[in-house]
Amino acid sequence: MKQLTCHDIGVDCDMKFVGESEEDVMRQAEEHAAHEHNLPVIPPNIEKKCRAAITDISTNSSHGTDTVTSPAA
Amino acid sequence: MTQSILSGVLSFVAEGVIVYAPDGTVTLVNPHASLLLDCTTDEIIHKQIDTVLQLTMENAPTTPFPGIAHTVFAKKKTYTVPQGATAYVTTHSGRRFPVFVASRTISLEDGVVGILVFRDITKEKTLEHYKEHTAQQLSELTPILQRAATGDFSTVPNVPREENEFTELYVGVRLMVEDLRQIAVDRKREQAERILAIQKTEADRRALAEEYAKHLEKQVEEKTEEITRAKVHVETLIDTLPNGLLEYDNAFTLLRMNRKAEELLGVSPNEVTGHQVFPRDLHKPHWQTLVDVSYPALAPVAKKMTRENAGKDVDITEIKVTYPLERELQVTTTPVLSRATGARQGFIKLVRDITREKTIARSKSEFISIAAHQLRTPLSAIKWVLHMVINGDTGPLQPSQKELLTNGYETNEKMIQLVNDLLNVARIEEGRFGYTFKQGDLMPVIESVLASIKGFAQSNQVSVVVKMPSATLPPLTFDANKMALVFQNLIDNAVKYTPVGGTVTIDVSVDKEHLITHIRDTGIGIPASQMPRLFTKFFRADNALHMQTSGSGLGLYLAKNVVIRHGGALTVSSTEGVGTVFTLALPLDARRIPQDDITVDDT
Repeated sequence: MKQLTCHDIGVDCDMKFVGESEEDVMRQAEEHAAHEHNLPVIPPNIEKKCRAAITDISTNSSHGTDTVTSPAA
Repeated sequence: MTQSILSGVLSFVAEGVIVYAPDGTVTLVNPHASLLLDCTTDEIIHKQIDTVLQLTMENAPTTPFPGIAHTVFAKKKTYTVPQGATAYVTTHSGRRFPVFVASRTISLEDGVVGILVFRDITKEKTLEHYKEHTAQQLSELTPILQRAATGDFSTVPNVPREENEFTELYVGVRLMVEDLRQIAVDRKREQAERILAIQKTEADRRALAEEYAKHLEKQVEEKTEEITRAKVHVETLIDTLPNGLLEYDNAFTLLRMNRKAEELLGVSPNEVTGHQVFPRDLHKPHWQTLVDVSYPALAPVAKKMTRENAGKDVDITEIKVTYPLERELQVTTTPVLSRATGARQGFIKLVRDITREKTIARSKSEFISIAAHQLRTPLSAIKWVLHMVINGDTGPLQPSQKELLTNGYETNEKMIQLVNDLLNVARIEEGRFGYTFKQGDLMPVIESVLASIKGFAQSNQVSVVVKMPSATLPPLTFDANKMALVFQNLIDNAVKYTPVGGTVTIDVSVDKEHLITHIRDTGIGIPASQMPRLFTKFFRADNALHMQTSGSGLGLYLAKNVVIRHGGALTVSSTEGVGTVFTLALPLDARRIPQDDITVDDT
């Protein structure tokens, strides 16, 4: 499983994205950025920053933050 | 509570927003700001706003950067980037990018805070830079293209070393200008070659023309010299002619006269040349002979002549003049015709002094007339005496005596005929032949002549054949006695000079204007060399002399004169040893018969 949080890229936001793959996580991050931060398109440097910040996690881990997971998860 | 709402709002703003306290300490940062500054929120919070942003200016005024918080709070002004300047943010990771930045104070429930909004304007600047770059490139290319449009290909654009979006354009323009320059060079060279070729052709043509002009000039000089020589030659000939020569234009203006004419007319060329001559000028002193020669038909004593082989427009008149001496002049008038058009341009008169020859001719004629008269009387007496003796009026004769006397009678007849011919010639020349023209049928005349010759033809064993047209002959105006003389001479000659067994054919026919008689024989013919003299007085061809010793040589002269007096023509064609054809043509229209006597010029 893959995971990314807004804090991972320096943004003061408690949102966490969990998905089967990096692409799955990035898709959730793009949706969040558009809806919550008025960023319809993530600039390349930030996308690069996001991909670098994605980490692998075990299925039972939890950080006590808002979590978005993909329906497949 | 206020801070929390503000945080929520700012997290949705798509610009970097930083809230700071009056001392410049950052109290709130939205996600955009964190992302733009490559920092986490924690790394920014509580730091100085100026430190966080690391703002630098390009093209800014020289005034020192006062600090954002100081401007906003101390000076109470909105912080903006000076006009014309560009602000750059440098992140702690060293990334530098242009920004739009503005800051001011806002009042919240718990006090006044500073708020700074910034936005990454890298794209705008890139676009701006691109526009500037494009404008610069175009400003370089435009003058080159403008010069090229006016035909100036001296400048070609240098293709920038570093490849960019304009490289292709630069290469294209350069190639185009170079192509155009080459075309212009080629065109200029072709034009120069063409001009050279034209100049060469022109020079060749000029050289040829000059050569031709020289050749022509030489030819003209030669021709002029030739013409001058010919003119001198002709003028000398004219001036030394034994006859007088006068040249007129169509208006009777005298253009030229030679020395002989001056002598015969008794007038100076200076006096009359260039003047028109009119019949009324007779009263002018010294002009009377000039007027008579100019208008010979109006002269008091004039006789129109005709000459064989003279042109149909040639007029020959004999006149008598009294000034400067009594003379008889023969005036021959010949038209001068244009070679190109055939139109008459004037005329020439040849004046021949015939006083002496006329005097001689008259003396001769008078002598012949007197001699003939004096001869005819005794010849007639001899004729009748011999006739009576031969007829036995003076007693019977021995056959040998009768034969002797008969020979004498025939010889006497020939003598009488010769005397008659001589008298007729004399009468013709004196213009007193005494013609009596009447309308009638010519056939009885021919038949009577044939009847008188029949015995002679039979004795010579020559056949005489007459061919007549089936239709009746049209009436003709003629003098029967004179025409009988003509036919007598022609048919008698034909029989006389045709050998035994030959044939004489008299063929009468009619065309539109003439009654034509051909008298054709199979006789000895006439030598070609003697044909021109055939109709002159006393002429007898050599072969005729050998065949017949008798004959006056006056018959054809008489016949020709009689036919011409009838307005007709007598012509001959002959081949020696084969035969002769005399053709006699008499006009059907009586108006063509001359009013006055005409004498054939026997020269």
